[in-house]
Amino acid sequence: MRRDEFMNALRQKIAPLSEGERDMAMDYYNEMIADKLEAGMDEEEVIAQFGPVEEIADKLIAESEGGAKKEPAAPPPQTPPTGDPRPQMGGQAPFTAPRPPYGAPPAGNYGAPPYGQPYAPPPPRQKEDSQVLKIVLLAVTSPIWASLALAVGMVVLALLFAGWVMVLSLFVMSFAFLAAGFIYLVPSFALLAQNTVIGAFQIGICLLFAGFAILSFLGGWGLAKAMMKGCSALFGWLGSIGKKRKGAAVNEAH
Amino acid sequence: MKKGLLEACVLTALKKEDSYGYKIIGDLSEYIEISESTLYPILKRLEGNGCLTTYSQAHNGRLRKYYKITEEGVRRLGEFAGDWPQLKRIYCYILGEDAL
Repeated sequence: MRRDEFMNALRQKIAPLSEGERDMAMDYYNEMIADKLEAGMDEEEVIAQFGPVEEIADKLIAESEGGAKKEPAAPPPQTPPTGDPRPQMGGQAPFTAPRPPYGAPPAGNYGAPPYGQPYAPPPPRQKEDSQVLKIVLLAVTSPIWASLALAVGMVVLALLFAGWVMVLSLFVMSFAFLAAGFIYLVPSFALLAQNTVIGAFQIGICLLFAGFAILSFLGGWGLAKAMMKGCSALFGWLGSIGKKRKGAAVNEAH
Repeated sequence: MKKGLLEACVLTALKKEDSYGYKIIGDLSEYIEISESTLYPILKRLEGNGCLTTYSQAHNGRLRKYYKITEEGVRRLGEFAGDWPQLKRIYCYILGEDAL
């Protein structure tokens, strides 16, 4: 890679930095290149020695963000010639937060947050991530929500059943009162002729039964109408959910 | 810990004389190999901490940035040197009593 290629690539990759920081970094590398060329090195060799532009840019961005990001992955180690006692340093060992010399108080914050404080939160997740996460969560928690849904469904069914049974029993009750009323009515006129008081009483009972019959019939009718309304609402709601799911599935299929 | 070591190395190079990027790397190369991309943030940080200042000087028709150690930088170096006894103890502990 040639010098201007490298500088252009670097300028592009450090675009997130402020103008001042970018200029400073560009000046630094320009100067470094110039000094090395002056020392007699070959231009391609100089650029190659810097390592990948991406790593340089990542480091610069990480430093400017106060080191909140992790250090970039270590480049492949430059093995020194055998017998070279010099320890390899300079961006190779992937240690994490920089540490001050032993015993010394932290010199500046090295970009890390003050002791005890949490790091800045990570960037917001991508939309695809949240979709996958949702599906995974649904699957994992399915034993919980599935059995819960089943239980709720059972309760609803039980309530429906109880409601209709109630309706039925009200109608039956109404019919029973009606029937009883008629049965008692027939002989009551004959009884009336014989004994006014008892006959009148019996007719009264018949009237009472008739009243009960009407009441229970009305009750049954009213409850039946309410049950019908409830059932149609329930089925309508279930139907709309089904349509929504179908619609979403159709949309996702596109 | 290594970052602290590198900073101390850079400050030591500057204590001897004002220097510039390429020369600092060259001077330190006898002891440690430090890359340009590692030196840059160290210089930035030291400047941020007030351990060094910068100035520009013309050289062969271009401007070269020189780094100069400050009093604060000298003080930090002294602190670092003062850590040596404890550091030595720790290394002895890790490597074994008679290693150092």
